[in-house]
Amino acid sequence: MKKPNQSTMRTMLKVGKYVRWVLGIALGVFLLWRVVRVVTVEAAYTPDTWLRFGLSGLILGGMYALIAIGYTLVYGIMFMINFAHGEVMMIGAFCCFFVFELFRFLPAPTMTNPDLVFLNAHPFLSVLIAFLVGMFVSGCSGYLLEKIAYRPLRNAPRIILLITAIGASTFLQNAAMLLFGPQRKNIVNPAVLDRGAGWTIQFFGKPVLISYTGAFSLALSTILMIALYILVQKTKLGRSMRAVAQDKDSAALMGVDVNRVISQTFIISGILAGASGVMWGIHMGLVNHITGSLPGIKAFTAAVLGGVGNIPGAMLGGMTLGVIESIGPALLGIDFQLKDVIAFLTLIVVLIIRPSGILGERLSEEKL
Amino acid sequence: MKTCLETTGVTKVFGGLTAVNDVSLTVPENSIASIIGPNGAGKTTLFNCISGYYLPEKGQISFYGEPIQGFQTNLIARLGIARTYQNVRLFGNLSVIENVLIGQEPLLSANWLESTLKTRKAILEEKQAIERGFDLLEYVDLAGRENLLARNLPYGEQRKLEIARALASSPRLLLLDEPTAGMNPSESRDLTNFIRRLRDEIGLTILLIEHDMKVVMEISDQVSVLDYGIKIAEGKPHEIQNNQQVINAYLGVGSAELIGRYQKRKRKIYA
Amino acid sequence: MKTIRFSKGFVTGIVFGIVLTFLFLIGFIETGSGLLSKLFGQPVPTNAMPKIFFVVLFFVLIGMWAGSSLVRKYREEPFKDLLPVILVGGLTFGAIMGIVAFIFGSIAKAGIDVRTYLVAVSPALIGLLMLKIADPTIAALSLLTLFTLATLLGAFLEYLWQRRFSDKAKELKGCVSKRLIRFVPQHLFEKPAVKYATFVIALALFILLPRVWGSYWNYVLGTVGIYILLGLGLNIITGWTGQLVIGYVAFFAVGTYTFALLTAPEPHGLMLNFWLALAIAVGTSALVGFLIGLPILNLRGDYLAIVTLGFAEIIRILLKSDLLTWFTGGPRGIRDVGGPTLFGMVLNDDVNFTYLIFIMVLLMIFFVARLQRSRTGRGWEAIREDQTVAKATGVNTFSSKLLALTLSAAAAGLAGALFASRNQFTGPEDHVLLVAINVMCLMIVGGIGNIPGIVLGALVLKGLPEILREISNFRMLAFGALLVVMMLMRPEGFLPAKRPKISKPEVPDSAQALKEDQGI
Repeated sequence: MKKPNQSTMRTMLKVGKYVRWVLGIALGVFLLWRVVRVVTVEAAYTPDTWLRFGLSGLILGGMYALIAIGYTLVYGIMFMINFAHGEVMMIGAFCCFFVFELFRFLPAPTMTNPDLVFLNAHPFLSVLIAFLVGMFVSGCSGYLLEKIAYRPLRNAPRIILLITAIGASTFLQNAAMLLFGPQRKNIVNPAVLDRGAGWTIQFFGKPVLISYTGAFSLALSTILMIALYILVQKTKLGRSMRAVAQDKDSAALMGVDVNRVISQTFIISGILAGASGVMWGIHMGLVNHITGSLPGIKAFTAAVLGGVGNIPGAMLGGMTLGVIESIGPALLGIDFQLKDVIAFLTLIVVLIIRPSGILGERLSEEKL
Repeated sequence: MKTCLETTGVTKVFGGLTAVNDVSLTVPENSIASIIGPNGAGKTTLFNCISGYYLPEKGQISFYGEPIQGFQTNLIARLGIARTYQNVRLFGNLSVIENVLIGQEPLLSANWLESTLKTRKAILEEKQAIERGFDLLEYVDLAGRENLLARNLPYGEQRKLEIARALASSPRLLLLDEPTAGMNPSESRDLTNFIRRLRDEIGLTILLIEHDMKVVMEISDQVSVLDYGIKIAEGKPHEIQNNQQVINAYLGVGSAELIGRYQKRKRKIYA
Repeated sequence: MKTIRFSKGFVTGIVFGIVLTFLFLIGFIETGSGLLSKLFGQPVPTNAMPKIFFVVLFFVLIGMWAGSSLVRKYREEPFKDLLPVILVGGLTFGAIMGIVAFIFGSIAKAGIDVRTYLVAVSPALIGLLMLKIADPTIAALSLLTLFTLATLLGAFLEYLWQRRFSDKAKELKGCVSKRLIRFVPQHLFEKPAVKYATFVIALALFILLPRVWGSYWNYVLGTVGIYILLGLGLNIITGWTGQLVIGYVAFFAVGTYTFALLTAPEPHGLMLNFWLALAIAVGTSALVGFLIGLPILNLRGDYLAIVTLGFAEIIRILLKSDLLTWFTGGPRGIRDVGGPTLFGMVLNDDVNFTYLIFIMVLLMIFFVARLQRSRTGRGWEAIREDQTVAKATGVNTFSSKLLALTLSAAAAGLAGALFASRNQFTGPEDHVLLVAINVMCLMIVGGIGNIPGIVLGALVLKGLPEILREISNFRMLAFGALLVVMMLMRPEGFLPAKRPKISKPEVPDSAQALKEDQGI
């Protein structure tokens, strides 16, 4: 039997730990240099542009955060990456589209304006209905997904669950494509919420537009995040969810209906994703079958970035990723086509340097 | 008599809970040592520290004099410590003989290139490993079952296979975590004799977590008792049987006194 | 009891109704009946509508399926007790289809074209749904009757089969297979003469067929071969070692692009020798796999899946972007990728290329089979089964996983290089995530961890769509459903893996001969 050289083992372990630090610092220095160069030397962008990037990053981040929460909730409870979650968001976005289309052609004539349609006559009601429908349908989708595809496999090896999730994701994407066509659909907002309209503020002498849709999305994201946090921390359901996430068997022994809690988790993540989808529809204005795919991957990245299993982590990760994605290309002086690349590179860098995420993982331990 | 395993002040803390609290243990070579205690006393956690799965917050663990605390589990396996688990953890979808072959991992060295090209070294090593595997299966009385899927074996045979897999690496120390769990009395008896043979025929040192007192009292050379992570007693089996603190730990505080009074009354009646 | 039964019928009716409505909305009714007509030998040109007869037949078959699935759940009840449930099921199904037909029929009659929202629902398709009946109400009622009757029919047939025939059929099957086995003695395959003959026949087929069956089949089988390579490669890291890699196409892309860039006249003008470029492509892929594995394999297993996914997306975006066109050829890809040469002979035609792919596949199978039975392969499978215990048993899980990932990446690189070389072109569209899903599918359908299964999976999933060109639109949808259904019903795949049989080492020959002499 070969006796391994113990001292070399120890030194190698130490080296491994330091390599991460060295890489992190090197990367940080490089990025800092690049950023300073772009901002000061090249001065390609004026401060108002930075603000604009920052704002759109925050708005995007809010949407990512809602989706990321869904991923982190499911991962914490079932240790699975719900690949079909992006598609649940897509479903929400489609709901927004259909509701708005319906109201766009629903006549609501008044004395002054015989051509008025419902969408413009009652814009806030339309938006409210769109959200309710979107959140409801997405919630149901989450529920059905769990019931049909994941629950029978509750005790199967994780890789089988992951493959099922990928299958479900592929199926939903292609179903959307076959039903509604591959072209991206244009979502027409109520006139009041036109995408170009908003408040203009002065920043360093230049005007910066804060669009209504953007502000609305950000506000709603924040409200939903706060609501979710309260739900998880203060309510009975939230307590059950946390219990099941920590230790399924003990929770069951304490009388928690594990199946129901898991279903409810999926419903809640569905609702949040649906809200995010509707926001996406209102703010971005375009939807098709792959609308959910990239944001889905990025949202999981955000969840990992913040610390998987950790709800505030998912929120923070989502906002951070949104901002990084929006400001990153400009900050580093590279092409905007590569903004998605930056998002993924962020993931890889985070996993190399700080795998447990910014706020740390919060997952149950394996019992030996 | 050399000391096979020695733990000095080992402490393992999880968040607010101290699972193992300053436990010091010495296991001489070629002996059977048992660790007993009520559920949740920290026995398996101690095993996990020894086998490298946990890094204790405080304390030292040495194996034949060499410190091993904090080493990776595969390294500890290579150094000669093998273990079994409370709930049998076999490689379910692999065959019985394959489980035993994997157990021999610390002894094997053919790399992937050699195996693919079937160099003489690889062929020889594989042949020897298979022979050893069959011998081991015979030793644990699983001969003839070699190509069955491990998960299709009945429970008792699964436990035997797990032991065979542990023995496959020619360990010097064997950690058995509740080996007789779920066995009927005759199976337990067989296993007890088997463990004794391991000590006597092969010269293994065995550290045992057990709940079945008959087994413990019958074959242990020494017994250590843990309760809430603290070692409350240690000694020869018969010493432990009558130890007040041990009885209290198992049956509840005050039980030792109750039992004492009962025994006194019995003696009075039959005196 | 009766109430429960009704609900089962109800639910079955609803489920089938929703599924068929979905199929209608995506335009599958047209395709389905087209397939049926093809089956009956009356091929339909792609733009024309199949005859109504086949549409009716299609509906009837589905109705029968609904009926038989209801009956299959009950083994003991007499038929007349089941009748109410079947009726409920059939009526529900028919009602749903009738309502859908009514709605869309009325919409069509009103002249509204829904194709802005539901792209497949053309007036012609709606006509098919309504069985070319003009009035929506009549159409709805006809469908109601049709489906109810079809459900009853299917239920009845299933009942007959169950009660009367299935036992007899099983007996018959047993008889026949026993006869066949006697006819073909077991030892036949162990005689050296037979083995030799089989080998010669296989060799002959291998040499002759590519020359004979035309370039189309060479192309198809070449693609199958490349996918077999990919499947075997993915199998190492995912099937055996149990580490999910979603972005496997990333390594494929590294292979194709490395090879293409090294052998195409533009953008770099290096025109390296085929074999050298092949080796470099394989090596580069392996290196990329290694580098990705180093930081990530220490972490939670799911992270590898996401990182490879991210990496695959990064590669795709970079390849497509204009930025790196100077290096990668940009969105238009690379043309005139080099072909194989051997001792100066150019072997770039389809026949020789098929030979090349065949040989590579055989080599790969050989390599992978040897690995499975070795210490390394067993270590991988132990990691899949229980990584913590594998590590505690002495397996160096990190280096094992790293090796698996590196070899998998190398296999993908090989497949990629061959792909680029055969197509003489490659572009960003060849490296979409779909490829990875394809490979995963064939690995799962065939059987995880299972070499014959993967070959079968590649043949079925790559060969079949070529034959059934009509359903190419629905292919990915079917794959997605297939993945889910396979995992729910048969996760081990169609050809479940059999453990390699390890037998007791033999007694040395001299002792054996002695025994025989003594008549033992």
